[in-house]
Amino acid sequence: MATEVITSRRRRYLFDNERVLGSLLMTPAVIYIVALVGFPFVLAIVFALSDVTTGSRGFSYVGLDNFVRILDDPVFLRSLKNTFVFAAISNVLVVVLATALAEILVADFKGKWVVRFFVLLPWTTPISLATIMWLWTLDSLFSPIDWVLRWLGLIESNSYFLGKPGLAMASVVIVHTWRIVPLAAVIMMAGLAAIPHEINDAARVDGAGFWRKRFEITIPLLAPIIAVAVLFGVILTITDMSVVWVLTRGGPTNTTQVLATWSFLKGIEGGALSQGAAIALFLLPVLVALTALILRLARRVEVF
Amino acid sequence: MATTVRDLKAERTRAVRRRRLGRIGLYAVAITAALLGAFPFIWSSLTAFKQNKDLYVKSNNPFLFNLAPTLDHFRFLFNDTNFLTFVRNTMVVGLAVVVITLLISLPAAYSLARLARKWGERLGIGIFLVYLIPSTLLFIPMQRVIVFLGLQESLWSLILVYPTELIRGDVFFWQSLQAAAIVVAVPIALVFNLFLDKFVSGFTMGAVKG
Repeated sequence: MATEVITSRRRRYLFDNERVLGSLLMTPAVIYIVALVGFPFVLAIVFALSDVTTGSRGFSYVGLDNFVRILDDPVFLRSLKNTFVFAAISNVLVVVLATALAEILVADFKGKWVVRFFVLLPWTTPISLATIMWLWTLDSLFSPIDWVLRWLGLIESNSYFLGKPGLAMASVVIVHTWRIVPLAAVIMMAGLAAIPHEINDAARVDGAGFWRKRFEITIPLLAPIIAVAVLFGVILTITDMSVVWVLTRGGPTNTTQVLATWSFLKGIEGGALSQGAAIALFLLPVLVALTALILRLARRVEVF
Repeated sequence: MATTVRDLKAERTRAVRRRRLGRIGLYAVAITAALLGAFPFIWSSLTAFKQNKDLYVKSNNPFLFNLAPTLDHFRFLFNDTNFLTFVRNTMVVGLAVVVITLLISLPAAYSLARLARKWGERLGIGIFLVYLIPSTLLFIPMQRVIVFLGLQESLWSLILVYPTELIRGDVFFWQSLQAAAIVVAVPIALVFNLFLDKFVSGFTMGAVKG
């Protein structure tokens, strides 16, 4: 009897049908993604296989010529290497600092609110504005860091942070780290909050000390969430162009160039759209590999 | 086991000392973290109030006001640049983005979570993958689209070229940019802070469920 009533109702009201309602609710999101991400994405692949430029409207298929040409370019190889090096080093730093920071964010102490505010500032500021502040902090003549180093007697004149290859690379890594640590810490904070109190209590009763508790309880239980934070961090560093663009524009002599800035320089500034697209496409295999990892993790932790 | 009263007392003082040490460590790390996070901001807000004559002397202590503080850079920002227009544009765009995002994603999220569990999960992952597409990859074709639409001189130069040129160009604009960074960053950080706990508990709700 009851089932009969339900089925008849389902027939009467179209929107009571889960399939119909479900796909109806999904449609706007799907259209949006196809139009604004899918379409340009396909266009980027088409461009990479053609000879389009910003100036002309000509268009012809050239196969893999663009890829052959960019692979011959030492600047491209340098950018490829830099992209990985920057992402790897800054994310190692992010994990170490953010695990510590997460503990601070969940701890209870006086002035907690002020500390939280300061700690989260880097994340809530637009990347370009935050990097502009760093640009001045790392200025060749008036850097306050230089002033402190001079005051301590460690250097004589200036360090030229953005003028020397090694220091410029370190600057890029530090700005990335500084910007991503708060996000990673907030993600891990959620992980910490999810660890049942009983486990911590049991450890304390059993006499586990500070480090023992960290390394044998907190960190293993946090591992999947740390992995999620790392994946977000890696994606953010690999796909970002503003930090390098604002700080060094890839200089000195392309030593801090990354794929994102190089494809912008080639494709938009230099006008070789097809090569720009080919360079940007190189990021894709990496990101696909990351995707596979995310899928495996997503099954273990339900954060998404 | 001969636990005397003295042993217990010693045990207790040791526990108290350990706790106190822990508190000191906590404060030390918290203050260091806050200073590291806020360093460019603290420094920018000092600089934004400094006279140019004070700034462009290498030997001047950058953390002190060697000359009287000034509002010149803020005055310049508000009177001689289009900063207020930028702020308004940002707010309009930001609001529009929030409204459109909610309109599109709320129904999608509902349908993913409640209605179609089987293909919902797969679709959800598919949507997440959009995160992975670098913006560089998208704005190169977008450039062609804008050229096709005949907007290259108006939109493109305004959106991308203009701000980046501005960043590197005028030195006097520097301190005003720093002032702008502070003006923009502080309110966002305040709001974010207010919602942090809610954000985290929303985040963990998903984690606890499984």
